[in-house]
Amino acid sequence: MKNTDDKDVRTLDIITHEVGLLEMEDGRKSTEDLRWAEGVVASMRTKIAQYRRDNLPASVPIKKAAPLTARLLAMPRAALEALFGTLVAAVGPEAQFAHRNLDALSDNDLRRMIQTIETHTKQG
Amino acid sequence: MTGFTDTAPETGRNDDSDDEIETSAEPFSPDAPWVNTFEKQLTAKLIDGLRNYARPRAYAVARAGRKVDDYYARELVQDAIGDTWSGVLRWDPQRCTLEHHLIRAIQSRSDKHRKHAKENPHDAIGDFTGASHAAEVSASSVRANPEEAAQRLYSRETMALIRGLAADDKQVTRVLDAYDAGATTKEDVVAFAKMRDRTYHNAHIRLKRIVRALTDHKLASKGQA
Repeated sequence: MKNTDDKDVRTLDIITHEVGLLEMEDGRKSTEDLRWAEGVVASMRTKIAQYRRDNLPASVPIKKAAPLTARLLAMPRAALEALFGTLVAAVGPEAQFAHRNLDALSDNDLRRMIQTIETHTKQG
Repeated sequence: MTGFTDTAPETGRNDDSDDEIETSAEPFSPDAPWVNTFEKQLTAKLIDGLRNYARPRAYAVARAGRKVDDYYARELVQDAIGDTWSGVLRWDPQRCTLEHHLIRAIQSRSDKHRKHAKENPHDAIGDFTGASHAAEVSASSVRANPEEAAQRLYSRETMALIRGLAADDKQVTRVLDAYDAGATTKEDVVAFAKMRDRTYHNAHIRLKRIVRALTDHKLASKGQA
């Protein structure tokens, strides 16, 4: 008798699991159930967003830019634009720059951009 | 077929003897990759699928005497997700998907709830059968562990009910016989019952209909029937 009953416990456990997996693939879905599931997701997303906010550093130190080099400060606009063109060609199409319209860029902004490129590409 | 039944540990949260999956006393602070993976895999489709998975498991719990309804299936899902997020249930995204982890958690917890549905004494459900009577006699003879005896009793009655509804379906009966004989995986059942994959699949679809009808009835009556 005991063995038969043990089998029943085991078989019931297996079939409710296997049938559950089938229901998971092809179960009934109602609008209310879907709304509930979306509500659970929304609630978890809120918790996740809160967790991310809580884990942001309290203050982010601002890194001061290095002073412009004497070499770049000595260069006139035409030389700077020529150097910038050379650097862009050397870096290739992968490079992206925040400023494209050089006419609207001050000489020092251009020097700053060139210095940044040179620092990242270890040139200059 | 998966090996869930072989590996699932006990994870019922609300019981005295808590045995969660890889619990730790250390506070849980998931790193960014973990959070990103959790967020990506946690979809409404997965959650609704898990609710459907949990319903037959809820049926077994209800049959064991615990008063549960359709909201119990939702609670199983919601608790497993919430406890994974809080670290009560430890999930390693490198080892398994969130889906697999949550199925395991729901499987384990529902199993534990079924085993510990002791607050609801057995009632013969008004369907006095040979199986029911034999199980009563068997249960009363096991003094050492009355909880285990009650569990056997409920399982015996439930399986008698399922077998009765499947009596005219030879393939489903063969599948149940295979499980009784010790089969666990699809390969075991196919080998034991000497059936083709397609036959196995179709038999499970019909078995699903039987269990679904019983589940619908049981959960709709809020565990009272």
